[in-house]
Amino acid sequence: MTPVTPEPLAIGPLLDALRGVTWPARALVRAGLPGAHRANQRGTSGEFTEYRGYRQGDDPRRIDWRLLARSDRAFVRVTDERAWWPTWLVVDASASMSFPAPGASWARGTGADKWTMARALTAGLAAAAHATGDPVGVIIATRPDARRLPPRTRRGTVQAIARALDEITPRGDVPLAPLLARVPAGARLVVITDALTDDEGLLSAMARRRAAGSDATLVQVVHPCEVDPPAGAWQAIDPEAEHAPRPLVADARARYRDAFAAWRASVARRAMASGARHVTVLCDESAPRAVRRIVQGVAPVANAPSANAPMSSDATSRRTR
Amino acid sequence: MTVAFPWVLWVTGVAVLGVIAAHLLSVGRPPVLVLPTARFIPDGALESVSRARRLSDLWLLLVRALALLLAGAAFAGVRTAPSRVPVASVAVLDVGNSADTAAWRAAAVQALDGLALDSSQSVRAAVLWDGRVLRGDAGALRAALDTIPMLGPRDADATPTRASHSLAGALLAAQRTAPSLADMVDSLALVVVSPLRDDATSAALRAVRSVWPGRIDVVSPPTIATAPNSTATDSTATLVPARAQVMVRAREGDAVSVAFRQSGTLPAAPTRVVRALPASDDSAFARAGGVLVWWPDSSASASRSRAGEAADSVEARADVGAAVIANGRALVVPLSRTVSFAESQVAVAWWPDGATAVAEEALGTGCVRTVGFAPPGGDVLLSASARGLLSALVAPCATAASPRSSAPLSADMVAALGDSGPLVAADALPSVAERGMPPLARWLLACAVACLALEQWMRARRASAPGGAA
Repeated sequence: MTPVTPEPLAIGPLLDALRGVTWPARALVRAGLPGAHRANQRGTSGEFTEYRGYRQGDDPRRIDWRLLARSDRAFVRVTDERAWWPTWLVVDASASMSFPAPGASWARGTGADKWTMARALTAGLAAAAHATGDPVGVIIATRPDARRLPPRTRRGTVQAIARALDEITPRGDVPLAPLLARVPAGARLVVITDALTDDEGLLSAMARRRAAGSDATLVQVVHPCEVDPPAGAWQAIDPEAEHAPRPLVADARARYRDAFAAWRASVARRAMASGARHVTVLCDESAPRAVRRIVQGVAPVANAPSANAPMSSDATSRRTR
Repeated sequence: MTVAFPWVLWVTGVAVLGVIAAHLLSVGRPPVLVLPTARFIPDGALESVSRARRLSDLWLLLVRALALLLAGAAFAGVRTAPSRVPVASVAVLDVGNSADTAAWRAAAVQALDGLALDSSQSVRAAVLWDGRVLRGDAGALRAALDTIPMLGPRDADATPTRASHSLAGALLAAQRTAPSLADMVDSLALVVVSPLRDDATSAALRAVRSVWPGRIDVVSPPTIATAPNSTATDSTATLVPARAQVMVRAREGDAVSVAFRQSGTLPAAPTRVVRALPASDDSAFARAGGVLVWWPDSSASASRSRAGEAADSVEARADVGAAVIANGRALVVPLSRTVSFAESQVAVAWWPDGATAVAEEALGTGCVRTVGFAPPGGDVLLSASARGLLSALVAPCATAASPRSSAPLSADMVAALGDSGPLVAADALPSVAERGMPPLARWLLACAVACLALEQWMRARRASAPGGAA
């Protein structure tokens, strides 16, 4: 099976659709260089927050003299610190992301392929972070060596990321867990993957990053044809696994759906148990919409996890919508 | 072309239809789908059976169907039917008649030619009265008859026995031969070519005749002049005394002579006992109906005397036997064996080991008995236990044929034998089961095996081809 070089991503329309979208932090970020996110330190910026009684050691220049004159008590002005938040996007470029294969007739009308969606999500999230003023870096997990673009805030960063992704052809199986160790503590970590390669290791690594203070988000890319494979009898081959082909026939189809839904629910449950966010993106969803959903932390309308199949319901509802 | 087991062909047809139906089923692997989530599909068999609208693997189907048809035809017993003639004759030729001279032979051949000239018949087999069966058309039979010495000029001394001159036996042989011709003819005619004298009849003739389901044509050749040896028989008849008595020609005081004289045994036929080499008058005596007993003294004289007659059947020897058994009585005494006889010779007395001690040989209407041991010494031959041996030596000849009656067969017997009626339909004859597989079936089976081998090769080639299914 020869990997096919994907078509270049149309970055222009995507950026147009995401114009004005920022990606604010939902919690105080670690103090650092001045940025757009509220830091976990009080500082001396111009944005007043509250008064606090003067304590020995405070800078006398921060004493509000007018208030001292009126109340005969010394107060200092307290302001919030604003810091930037480096964002790291880890993109899975294993062979399983190249699904469906370009030109597959049975995949017509089922949306973009997984790699195209992953590239669009990466570019869109990078654009949102860049619009917030955060530095954006990318780690592309591919063979033979992972490609790493360090965080940048300068202009053209998103285009550079898109070009780097266009040069990648998904192949092989690349475990993501070792790559997550390269992400600095406290950064925003977004993993865009189908989680089919070493999901146990990936979730463990994300739990470790979460414990280190990073904000971790697992964006699981699922193609509709994975949820509901094409009709007919097939000889299914896993591009990453070594096991023999398996028969995808009528009686096995229902068991496959159940097993796949259960696995996705398990991944979501374990991700959330480790403190990470878990977002499922079906490839028949528009990329800007998915980016907005991830950025705003909004779950799909029918994405409420249920007890039995919490993550499979979103796919089904969206396909019927 | 005939088929022995038509139901096998029906079964073969059903099997071929099954093979054709199987070729409408497509057994193979479904197309490949690269599915990253294939791990969630339960494991199972990849092969699937589906119905197709068109036959698949036409060449393979052709070879398989051909192999089945060939094997079915082979096991069904398909054979090519021989060309059938409306009527064929089985001729029963009397070759044992006293008229077996050149004239009789010419008459028999003429009778065969007469049968062959009839356009509706062609002789397919000839049964000789001695049991031999000749097959073929009239020309082939006549050529075969020319080579048979039985019909040629015979030794004047050779007299056919009664056993070889039985019309009932010949008819039985013909009836056994007829079914083998059933596949080649529609009807069979049984033709007896014989002068039909009284001596040819037997008690079994009517019963044997009743077994044949059709008529029997009797062809009597013109009367043949009586053979001249009958005159010789009359002349030598004077050599045999009218009264049955034992005449011993030996030296005075010979133990054998004394024993016969003292025993007082009365023979049923004139008997002559000679101790020395038989003379010509002794042979004439035997040929005239007498019993000639030759009891040589030693093996040397026996071998010397028999060397020119039957060296292959008689062997001189000198060892000691314990007893001789004759007429149910045993003479237990050490005896010196002088002659060993061939097993084919008629025995009159035996050694305890079953070997022949006294042999009889037909000569004319009489016989010659040779005693294969030297006379015991002393008065052993005078004892009571020796009487069995002596009485066996003077018994009537067992191998000689009685003089034939030259009277023609009675009219009622001829009528019963001929009996008007239809020819025998070939279907009425018992079928002759052909042993083993007919040659055509063997070839068909070989072709079927070759087709199967070709089918295996095609399957192996197909499996080794890229994308080939098993």
